[in-house]
Amino acid sequence: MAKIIVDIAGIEVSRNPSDILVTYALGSCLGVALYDPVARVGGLGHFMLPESNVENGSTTMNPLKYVNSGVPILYKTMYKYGARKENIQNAIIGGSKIMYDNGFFDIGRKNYAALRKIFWKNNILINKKHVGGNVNRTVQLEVATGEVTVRLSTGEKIRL
Amino acid sequence: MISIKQIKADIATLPPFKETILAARDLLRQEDTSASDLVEVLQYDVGITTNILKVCNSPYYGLRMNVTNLQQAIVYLGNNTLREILIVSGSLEYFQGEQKGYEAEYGELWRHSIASAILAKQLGEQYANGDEMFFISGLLHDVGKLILGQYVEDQYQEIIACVQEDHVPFHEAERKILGMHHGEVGGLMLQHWNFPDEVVAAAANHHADDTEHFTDAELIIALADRLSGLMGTGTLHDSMYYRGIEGLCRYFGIREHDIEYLLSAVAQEIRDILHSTSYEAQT
Repeated sequence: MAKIIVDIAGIEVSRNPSDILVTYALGSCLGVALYDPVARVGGLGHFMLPESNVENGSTTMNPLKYVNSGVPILYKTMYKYGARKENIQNAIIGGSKIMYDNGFFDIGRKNYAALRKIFWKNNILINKKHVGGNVNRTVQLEVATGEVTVRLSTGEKIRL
Repeated sequence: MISIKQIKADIATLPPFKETILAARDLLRQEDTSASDLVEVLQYDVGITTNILKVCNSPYYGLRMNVTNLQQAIVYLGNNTLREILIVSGSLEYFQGEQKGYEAEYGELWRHSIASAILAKQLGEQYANGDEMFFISGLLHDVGKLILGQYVEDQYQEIIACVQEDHVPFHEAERKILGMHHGEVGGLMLQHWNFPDEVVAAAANHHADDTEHFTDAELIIALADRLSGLMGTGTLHDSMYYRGIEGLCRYFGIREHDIEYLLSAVAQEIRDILHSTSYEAQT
């Protein structure tokens, strides 16, 4: 079993059944786990901010920092590994907010909104999700089975 | 409340902060210090020298050449930058190894500390007088977790239950269950290490959630801590359980868009400096 760690502002895709993709400590960030059970390809992304337009004009932009530019790259990478759009199952995790914040400042919610927008544009429905609240989450995706497990900062472990 | 005494005993037995670092820091305060004075103090400490060279070659500091010896490092870096690098190099060894209680992943507390340092420096430049203490205070604000972590791990379920049932922030739950919170412990540790009062106060008060009773410098560190806890570089088990981010942003006139821009801008810098510390290389 090989544990592959997905960095913040990063994606990993694998079709090696012994791989487990993991991303740690999603706070307001959004984790997107994808799995094609036919091609047996799994992918996981860890995105930090909703929209890349905050960096308008930047020449060194890293598109994987943003939901709106990172999610399409994750899908395209899945296709390169043989996955097909109609087979891909998704799970969306994270987008939490800090306790006692009345919504003035909620990047987590905006990250999730950015995801719904891009899914809607591409006719993709959300299959599973564990988003919002005030917890931080660690996510793992088993490439052999597509099973997604979320561990919360409360100590709870959830199988999506 | 069994542990207050034990926690204080742990602090009292802490080895002093690396003497070479403190001596070098004092030299940097004096105007007539030459590069060779500094080399004299630092060169015998191989660990520190190695760390200084690694950190100063990080893209974060933007030197165009590969610095291979201490003399060069001192000549090419300004005094303020050198002081930053000294403290980063000296702190590294305390944060090495597995930290109990707060981390979902090995190294997350160090990442949180570096992210907070860089955010505090940026926020300090934009919204306060921008002095060099912001970086150092940001870096060390959570140092209390190094000692408190063991106790937090042992009683994590009680602390989390207190956060959820009594609706109190994590540090208040720590104090209720353990007798002290990690900010207080950090303040005592930094005092023990003879850090300046403002660094001690910033650590002790980094959970500040009202803007009336704290200095701007303390509030900047509080905001840097909340933001780095959110952003995924340094999100710890307690990161989501604090108050005040909204009031802090309003106080400094920071809008949501400014925050997104700031987080986006510092992400690469944080990564650069992390990759250059030996700590990251182990993971």
